[in-house]
Amino acid sequence: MDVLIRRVVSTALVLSRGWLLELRQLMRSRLYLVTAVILPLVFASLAHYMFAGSQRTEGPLVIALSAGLMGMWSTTLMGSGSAINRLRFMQVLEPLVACPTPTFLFSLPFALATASMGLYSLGATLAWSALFFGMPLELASPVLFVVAVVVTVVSLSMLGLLLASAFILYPTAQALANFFEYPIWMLSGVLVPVSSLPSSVRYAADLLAPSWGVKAIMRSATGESGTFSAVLICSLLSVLYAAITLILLRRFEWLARSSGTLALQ
Amino acid sequence: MSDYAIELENLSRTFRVGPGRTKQAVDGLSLSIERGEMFGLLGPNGAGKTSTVKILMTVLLPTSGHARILGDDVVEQVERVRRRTGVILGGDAGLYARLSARDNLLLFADLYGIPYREQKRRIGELLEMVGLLKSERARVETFSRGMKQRLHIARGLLHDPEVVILDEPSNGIDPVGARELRELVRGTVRDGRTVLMTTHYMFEADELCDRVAVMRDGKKIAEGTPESLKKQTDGQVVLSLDIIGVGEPDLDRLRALPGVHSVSVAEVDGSQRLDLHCDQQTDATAAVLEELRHLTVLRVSKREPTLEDAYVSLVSGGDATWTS
Repeated sequence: MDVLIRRVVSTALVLSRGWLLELRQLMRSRLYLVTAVILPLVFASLAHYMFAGSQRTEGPLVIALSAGLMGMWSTTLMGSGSAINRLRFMQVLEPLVACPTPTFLFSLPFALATASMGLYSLGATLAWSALFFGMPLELASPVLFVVAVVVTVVSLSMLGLLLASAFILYPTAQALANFFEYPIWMLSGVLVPVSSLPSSVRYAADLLAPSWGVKAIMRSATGESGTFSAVLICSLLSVLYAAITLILLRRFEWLARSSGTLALQ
Repeated sequence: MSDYAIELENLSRTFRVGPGRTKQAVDGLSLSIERGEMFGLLGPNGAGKTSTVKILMTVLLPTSGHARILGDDVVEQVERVRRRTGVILGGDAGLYARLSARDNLLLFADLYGIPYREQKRRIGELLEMVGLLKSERARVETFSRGMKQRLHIARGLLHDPEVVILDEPSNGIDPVGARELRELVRGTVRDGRTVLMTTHYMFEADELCDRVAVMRDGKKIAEGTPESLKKQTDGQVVLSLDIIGVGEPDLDRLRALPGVHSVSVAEVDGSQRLDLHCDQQTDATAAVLEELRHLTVLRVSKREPTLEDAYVSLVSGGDATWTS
């Protein structure tokens, strides 16, 4: 029992300190900070002008939320993947892999840190939308909304980490992450309602945790029913992603050691 | 329990360098390093030293052969090897540049599972040992190369490893900084650890190591104590020529001359410096000048060989067969 408690404490420590230090690193990058401030503003403006010029029936809150989610997704997916490449570029990836801690445990804090930035991006977009464009921020169920946002951000970081696992093996996997950014926006129902997509594509959307997260956020904000089920499915899919990532990271680490791609080429 | 701290058995590593092309970075390397020993792995760039280090630090798999640390196989018992081995890499990179020295150590202390209560004491001790206590809160990106190297040492010793692997620790560091580093490295052995160090510098290996091995083209070409390596050049002289326009065919002819052991060439101020290791008893000067009569020879001199010459002779000569 003692060993188990010690293990849990040490894992929590690795995750929390890793998250904090990674966040500190990100905050000290001027380029990252400028992007983090400007992007939400861009997304908020886009949302406002799209709403003003369209015949869409959704309320302004839904439009602002969609814009915020776009920012959140961009930050999280790009951040998780590029974190591994940044480590390779700094030549820290090899010393990290040479530690006895599993690769999953040192990768997870990067995903959580970028997800935190994603959370900020969502908040900032909503704030800009309210401040500059007068979009109302009246939430039907604020508590459920917070739960849905947290679950969605975790699901995004898990999906980001799943894609980032390939970065351990392939230094050029950034192209893969870039390739997935827009399709996942579409499938998550952020840009257009999933119901407007072809039925074969809709099944793919159902396998994406963030699309359930988006549903949960929208439902909790507008007061529609079904928030709980969406949160539950989003959480289960996130756990599934984590399990797949765990297996992939182990396998990719082995392959990277075999091919010698952990080092900066 | 194994008698040796580090054992390499016919270790090989091949890299794919293009379609259908491979490069043999390590070629059948065998070594046995005793516990508490300070062992130097020498060789020029591309000799296979860093690939060997990466196999031992478990970030690269061997193509064939075995490597064991304290009896644990680096492929099969990865976690045990990682817990008992400290790796100190050379160079500017390999650290979180935007974090402080202390934050860098805290992050790795967690990853090595050092108990929370011990971390503060251990990090404080190490920062003091490497002389970075005053700069512990400064960002690593503001550090000099020597300071970064000292931080690398602190990080490598965080979990108090039984075996320490250093990859070219003094590479690119000024002479005073390099001397301080060597003193630090010597301290790690005094604590009873086994140290494997790779280096380009023969004098560094001579100063620190109990034994050395010299690698060339992935193979071990010599192994023994620094003293026995020096003895390699007993009875030899170095004939040094400053010359213009020497080519590979000229070098081949010089190598074939009787009494010439090895030939090395380096570019010096617009000309080339040829160093020929010759038998003391066979004066090869006349024969050498005869072979080079079609070229402009600026200067000829003879001198006693140094330890560096012994190393150069090994890595630039033919197939050396020396062992202690």
